[in-house]
Parts: sequence; structure tokens; C-alpha cells
Amino acid sequence: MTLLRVENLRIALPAGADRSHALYDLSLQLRSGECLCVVGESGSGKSMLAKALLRQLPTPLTVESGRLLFRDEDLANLSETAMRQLRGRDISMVFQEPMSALNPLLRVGEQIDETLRAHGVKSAQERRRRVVDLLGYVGLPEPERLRLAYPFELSGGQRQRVVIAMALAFDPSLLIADEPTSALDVTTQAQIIGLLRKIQQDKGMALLFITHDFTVVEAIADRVLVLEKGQLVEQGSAHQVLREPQALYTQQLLAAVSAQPLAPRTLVDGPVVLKAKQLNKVFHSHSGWWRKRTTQALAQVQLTLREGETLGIVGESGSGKSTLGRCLVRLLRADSGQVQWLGQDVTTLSDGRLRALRSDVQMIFQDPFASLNPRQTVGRIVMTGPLVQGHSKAEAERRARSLLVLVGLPATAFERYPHEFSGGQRQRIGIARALAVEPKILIADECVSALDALIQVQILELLEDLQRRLKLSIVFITHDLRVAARLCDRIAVMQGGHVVEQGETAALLAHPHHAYTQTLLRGCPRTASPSTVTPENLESKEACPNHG
Amino acid sequence: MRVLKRFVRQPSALIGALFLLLLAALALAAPWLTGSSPWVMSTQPMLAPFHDPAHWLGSDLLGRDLGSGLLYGARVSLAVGVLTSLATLLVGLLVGALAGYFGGWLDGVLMRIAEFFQIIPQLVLAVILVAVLEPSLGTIVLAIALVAWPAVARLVRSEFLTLRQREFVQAARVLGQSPWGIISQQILPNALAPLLVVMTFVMATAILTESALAFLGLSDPEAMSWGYMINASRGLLRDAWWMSFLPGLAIVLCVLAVNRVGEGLRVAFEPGRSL
Repeated sequence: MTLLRVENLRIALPAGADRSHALYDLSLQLRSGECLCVVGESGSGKSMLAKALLRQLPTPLTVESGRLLFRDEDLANLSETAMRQLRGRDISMVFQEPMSALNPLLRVGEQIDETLRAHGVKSAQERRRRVVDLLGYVGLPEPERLRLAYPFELSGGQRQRVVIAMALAFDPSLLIADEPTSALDVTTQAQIIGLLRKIQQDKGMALLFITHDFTVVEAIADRVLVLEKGQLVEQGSAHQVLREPQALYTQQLLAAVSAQPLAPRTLVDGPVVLKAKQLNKVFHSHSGWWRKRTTQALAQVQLTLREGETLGIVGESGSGKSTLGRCLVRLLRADSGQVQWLGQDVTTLSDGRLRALRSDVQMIFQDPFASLNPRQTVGRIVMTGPLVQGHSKAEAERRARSLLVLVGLPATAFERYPHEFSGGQRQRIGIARALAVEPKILIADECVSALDALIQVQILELLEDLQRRLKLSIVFITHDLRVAARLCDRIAVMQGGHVVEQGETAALLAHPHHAYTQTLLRGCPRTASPSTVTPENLESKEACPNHG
Repeated sequence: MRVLKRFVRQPSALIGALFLLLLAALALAAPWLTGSSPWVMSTQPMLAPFHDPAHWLGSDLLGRDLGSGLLYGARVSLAVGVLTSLATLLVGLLVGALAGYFGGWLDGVLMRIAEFFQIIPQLVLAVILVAVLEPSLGTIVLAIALVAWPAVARLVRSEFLTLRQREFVQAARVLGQSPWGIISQQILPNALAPLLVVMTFVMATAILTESALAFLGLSDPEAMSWGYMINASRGLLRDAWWMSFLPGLAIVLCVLAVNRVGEGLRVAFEPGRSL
């Protein structure tokens, strides 16, 4: 039975947006017991579909034409009351960020209770029983006790389970999940996907799963629908779309997430440029009045980086990889151990003494939006480095202009402000800023994780190219083993502040020794065949900045 | 540019700003507009407004021209407002920036000092200071600024604390920029918007406090001020209400205008939070 039918849905965007429609002539069908994955990059309009289904489009936007039929009933004709009855009862939603979907001031049990009460479950005992059942059903330990916990006391995965429990309160016939695992670690992500899959099969629910991630698609989808800028580009069974993609865009997306090295790499045997010896770092935080909590962010970390080499540091959030990056670049001071830049010990050097050495080691940051000063022109941002390192203004400007060209930005970028650029372009600006002081070592902390897959590839290719041209040595920190595999000569895997495994990329991927590495590897998609993708047809992607 | 456009689009803020500009122009031009000192008894006492075209706002109980008094009073009010804001900004910025950027024990010490000043009732401290020192424009500014700076310092500190963690500030550190360079080029331009807004509120408070001091007879005896005018005529509230009403209205309008400008700036700087 067809549960949901969308026919020629058009949602117009206000004038001045980067395109005329958020969704253009989208049609799809979803049957009970089926999982349809809607795949697209950010800005493809995939979230608009979910919002349109719940009749919760953000204010200026409305459904321009087309029909949304749920059980052969047009959602547009329902009264607001009827729609409210439908939401949460027949159609439920799971959001990306569990923390913002939960009220931080209410115990999780009360929040589910509230949903039940809103839909007319009168008896308090009945509600309480249902809450405990639901929490148990989504695999939370000790539901009796956990129902009294506040959201902040739970981990990200547990919170997402609570949100799922809340969505399941009335056994909905359609569950819409909008990037429900994107904020989670690889291992947690796999668990949540497994849970959703199990629930869907148990209950014969229809699942509309919105994601940008082909790993997830592979794990859960029956059918796949690919969106590009609001247009449907391909639709078919999961096997068909993943294995024999027809549309060029799908092929590009799949190629972008492969784990094939970007370029053949040979292990270099140059001099050691960066060295970490027995690094330790402990963070203290107060919990309560007397108790102190200590977190061992780094424990006896040993690393070496040779000239011209790329070392990947892979681990999940909280594994200490970012702390390591910050210690290596001396934004943080390690508690004990030693950091050497080009043979010189910088572990305890004062900030003043360090400033003169800073030009050798530079960093590229994660967030392309937060890492550029919004009040400075791009030119000034890039010139900052050379100026503080004592170069003349003319020299700084010359370097900035040539670097902007080198990282693939238009020459006009110099006078413009960061907000005029897309995420990928901003990351290029960040790279130019780091290169302006002619560093020998680059430390890239999750520098592509905030970007869409196709843009990720471009930035990785840029780094690869720059490394070869400028003989850079790179420490590449990421949570994504796949991305590390594309760029790195060697990979170090971190867990709980320890480096648990370290080795040459190919060998490490082929024969992971440590159990944790094996879990991480399982999170990666089996590689699709590369690649009809050339840098040329990728380049056109980024030419238009993606506005909000 | 967009900030200016959003500011101009708010009628109340625009009117407030124009009013203040006009007031400032009138205050500056006071000697030429009035022709005589506000202390000169130039006409008959207790002249009601709109009776004598030479003194169309009337006169007080000594026959001093009210219109002239209001204009010279505007000089004092605006001067106190502007000077206090500047003094507060200077101290607040310095203390807040040091505490927020360097943190640690310096932050602890500076914030304890700020709290010490914050718990003293503003008017009481001002009264005591002016009573102990010579009452003059300088001491009044000092007295008001002394209690107003902690609020600014705390704001600057909290802005610095969040901005210091931002990646572009860390990038500047990695590039080797000096603390002074980071503060002035990276952090301060981004902290300016909320700071400007708070400064307008400091200014409004300063104008009110000065009026209160003058009303209590603790203001500079050489300068005609709105508070003094109300004080001088308060006994005749029933016989000649306009003598207190006009300077009172001036205070209300002036403070209201400053407040509207502040509110307008706030909305202009944060378009997302305007509703």
C-alpha cells in the first residue's frame, strides 16, 4: 500500500536566493515497511521536503504547487487541528541534533510523557508504563532510572535514542529522520542506524531517511532518491543507485566518498621535522563542590613527522586528537613530554620567544565560518601572518595576492569579506592564511569535516597539490578514516588519549590490529568504483557559493 | 553600511538621534542664541511661557530666562553624558580586556575590584564623592564613572572570553600575532557592537545622575543645569508649574532619545534578534 505520495512538489524560494525553487517538481512514493533515503548535499532542499510534509516550512516559504498525499489524503486540506493530531501520532520526526530536540530543563521521562498526554493518554500510570517500555525498547539501559535523567546527563547516542523513543510513542506509520546520525560518532552512528532499521522492520513503518552520507544509505536504504539543488537526479533501489549509478552527479558523489588514495604515494625518508615525545595532558573540571573530574586527554603520545610526509591522526570525538593538534602547534602546553619543531624543543618556550618560530608550524581549522575574522577583508586576513612576522606591507600584499590565486580563489577575493564566500572557498582562504608565512609544517584539524563531500575532495586535492609543490609536511587530524586514507602516508589511530595503532596507510587498512581500528573501519563504506570524476567537472560545483 | 541602513529604518531610533544632534547643536550655539547668561535676571520673575516674545519660555522666580537656562543646561547634561561615557569606556575596556584575554589570577583580582565598586549604590557614592571633593564638572564625571565602569568591564570581559576561544583568534595566535595585536585587530572589532549599545545606557544613566546631583544642590555651582532649575523652582510647583516642568521634560526627552538610539543600535547590530 502506498502510504505517502508526493506529486510535483514545488517550493519557491524568495527572490535573491541562489535559485528559484528549494524543490522543483519532486515526485516520490513511499510504501509501508519501506525505507527511502533522500540523499543530497547541504542546500539541496532535502530538509525542506521533511518540513513540507509536516507543514512546518519556515515562514516566507510555501508550497507553490504539487500535492502531498498521506493515505490518499491531501495534507494541504487538513485543518491545523487535524494536522496537529497527525504530527507525532501518525507522522513523527527525528532530528539531527538531539540536544536541541530535547528540552534541557525537563527529565527525559517527562518529555515523552508530555507527548503522550498531548495526544490524549489520560491515565498517569498508563503513561508511565509506556515511557518505561519505550525507553527500554530503544535499547536504553535501566529505563526505570533513566527516565529521571536530564538530557545533559546522557551521551549523544543516548539522547538520540530518547528522541527516537519520543517519536515512537504512538507507533507512527511514517517516521521522518533528518540526518539523525550526523552529529554522532561512527560507532554510535552504526548502533542508531541498526536500531532504526530494527524498529522499522518490527513495526512495518515507513521510514523517510534524509542524509548526505552514503555510508548510512548503504546500511539502511531500500530505495534511494538523489537530489541536486532541489531537482531529482536519480531514483531507484539501493543496489541500483549505489552500484550502477546512472546520473553523473550520483557518480561524483559516490566517487567523492571512496577511500582510494588521491595520488599514488611513496613513503618518504626525509629528516624528522616534527616530533612528539611522551606527551601527556590532563584536563581538570569541577563537578559538584569538592569532586574534581580529570580527563586524560593525552597519554604518552609518541609521534614523528618526516619532511614531505602526511601523517593522519584518526579518532572519535573525545579521543584527544584535537588536544594533540593544539599541543603540537603549542596553542596548549603539554603537562609533560616534549614537542620538537625542526629539532628544537618548544614544549616550555614562552609565548614571546615562540612567536618568532611560529612561521614554521601553521594550522588549518575546522570551522570555515568561525576561523575567519568577519570584520576583516580576505586580503587583510591573509596579510596578517607576514605582517606580524616582520615583512613589509608590500611584501605581505604580494604574498597574499599570489596565494589567493594559488589556492584557487578569484583575484577579486582580496578586497571582499569572508561572508561573501562559500564554505569550501573559506577553507581555501584559511589555507592561504596559513601558507602566507611559508610554513614547513601544516596541522589540519578536521579541516574538511564541515564540508560537503564534493567540496571535501577539492580541498583534499588542493592540500595534496600544495604539499607536492611546497614540500609541506602535514599532520591531518580527522574523525573519518576514509578521508585520512585518501591523503595520508601513515595513520595513527587514537582512543582515550592513547595512540592505539600506528602504521603505513595501506597496511593499516588491510590488517588493522587493534579492535578499535577494526570498528572504525567497519564504519567506512565499501568503495564504489572510481571514477568518472575529473577535477574539471568538479570545479563547476563550487563556482556558485552556496547561500544559507 | 548595512548597520547604518538598518538603524535609519527604525523611526524611533532615527528621531532620537536627530533630537540629540539638534540638542547638541543648540547647546553649542547657546551663547549666540540667547545673548545673555542664564544667571542674569533679565525680566520680571515668574513670567509664564508664550507671553513675552523676548522670553517665550518664561522666566523663573528671580526673573532668569528659562529658555536660556534650558540651553545652557543641555551643555552640562550632554557634556556629562559624553565625558562619563568616554571615561567609563576607557576604564571598562582596559580592565575587561585584560581580565578577559589573560584570565587566571589577573582576571580574579580585577573582577573582585569591579564587584567592590558594583555593590556600592551609585547615587550614594556620587553624593559622597562630590561632597568630599570640590563640586565641578570633573568630579561629577569622576563620581559617575567610578560606579559605572564595572558593568562595562564585565561586558567586555565576557565578550573577550567567548571571542578568545574563536578559531580566528587562535589562528592569529598561531601566526604569531602579539597579544596587543590580537586584542586590537581580532577581538575588539567584533566586540564593538554590544559595547556601543551599553555605552548609550551608561550615557543615559549619567545624565540622570547629574540631574539628581544638581537637584540636591551638589552640582557645579557655576553651571546652569536642568536638575538645578527643578530644584530652584520646586517650591512653586503649584503656582508656576512650568518652571519645573520644562527642565523635567528636557531630562525625559534627552534620556529617552539616548535610550532609543541605544535600542536602535542594538537592533541594527543584531538583525536576527530584532523581533
